[in-house]
Amino acid sequence: MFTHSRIRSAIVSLGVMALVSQAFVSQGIAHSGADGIVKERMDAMSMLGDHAKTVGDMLKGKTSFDVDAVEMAASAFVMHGEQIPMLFPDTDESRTGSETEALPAIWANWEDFVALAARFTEDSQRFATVASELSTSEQPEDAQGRAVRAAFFRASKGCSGCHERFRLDQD
Amino acid sequence: MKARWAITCCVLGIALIGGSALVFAHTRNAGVEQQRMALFTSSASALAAGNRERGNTVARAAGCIACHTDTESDGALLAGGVALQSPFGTFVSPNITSDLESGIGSWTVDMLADALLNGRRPDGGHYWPAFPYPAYAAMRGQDIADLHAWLLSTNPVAEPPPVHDLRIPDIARNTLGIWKALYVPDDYQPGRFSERGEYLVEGPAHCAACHAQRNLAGGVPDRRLSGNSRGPEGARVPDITREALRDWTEEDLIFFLEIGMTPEGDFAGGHMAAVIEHGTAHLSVADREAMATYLKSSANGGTQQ
Repeated sequence: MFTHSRIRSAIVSLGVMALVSQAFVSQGIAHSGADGIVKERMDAMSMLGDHAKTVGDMLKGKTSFDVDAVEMAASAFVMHGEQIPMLFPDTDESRTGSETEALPAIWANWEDFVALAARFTEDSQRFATVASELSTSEQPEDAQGRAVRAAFFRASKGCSGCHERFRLDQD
Repeated sequence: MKARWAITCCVLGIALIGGSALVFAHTRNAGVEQQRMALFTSSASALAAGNRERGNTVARAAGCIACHTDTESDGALLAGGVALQSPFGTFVSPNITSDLESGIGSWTVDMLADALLNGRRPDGGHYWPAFPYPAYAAMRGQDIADLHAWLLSTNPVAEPPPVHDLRIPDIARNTLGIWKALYVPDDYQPGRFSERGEYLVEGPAHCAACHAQRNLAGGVPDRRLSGNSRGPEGARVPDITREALRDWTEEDLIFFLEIGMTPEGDFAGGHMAAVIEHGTAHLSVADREAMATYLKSSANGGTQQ
């Protein structure tokens, strides 16, 4: 059992890495005007968006439920949450780099910003726990769906919560 | 001498035209406003006593909490102090807690109805239309009674009312009668919208306040939700007519109104994030569905005939 779950998490990590690199390649085109740290964080956000879309589409019933994809999404959320403070260094490039949508409010309210990221990471960890229990869960599928939904919703509050104060608002 | 006469004539002429416009607008508004209040009062006898729980839902739908609670500074519920930047300066939302002095604790349900439906202050003056009464004008009597019950049950906060920081002098508020005659639709009155989704979107949720184009006078002559290039804080506000939402399914919209996620997996920020977090996320599933159904229907900004 123990080795099984280890292998499983190794597979998931590999999957996450593969997806990250894939996202970096595909997003290179979308954010062509940005470079350096701005590009790095925009790519990371796009990658997260792809994961959120994957889980969202399952919850909306557009695609069928895929336990591995949920686990990968949750792992990516956790990883990203931990990286957020590093993706927004207080440098000229980071503040004013081409195409950046990061608001100066980030550095003016650095503690709030870091606290939001920390809460997002915590909620994502809970989401990851729920996700990791899916494969061994004996609950009926609709109960699992509800659990994923609740955990995903809670974690994703961090996305809007941060965008509300710290991202340039434009359509 | 001649020049002086000319100037005097001009000033008198302008005063005469302005005065007539004010008198005309006043007379016209009085009729419309009385009708809204009559519709409210006549239904009042049929109304159930205000219900706090339902009132909370109305407050969520109408965005009261998002605008009147300074969550960024951990401000108390409904104590106001939220800044709204506009081309006319910065409006600051007032305290609408149940405090008798600083809030609206002394208000009767009629006073609340007059404020929401007609943009009238208890002293008879006009509210600046940063308070979205052009949409609230269509609110249902029962919703107003329920909202009143909920507002009066909130924690009183005795904080002095904040001051707007405007580019226009306060005295200009007296001319808002003309603005109202031009930009508050006469037919917006209790009972105007019978279908739930249309009622929520066009009435209490006041989507047009940000998602429709405002003119130089800050009016919304065309209430189609076709977007606004100069929204609050100068942000561009997207077109949400049916045509613009063609790639969104109803399910996408319901999801968005609950957690702010777009079909692409992006998450709303800015004012919309607050509207969702403190508002639409707390509505019933049926209400979000109704809003989504309306937004996807041909009634939402279809080609104008």
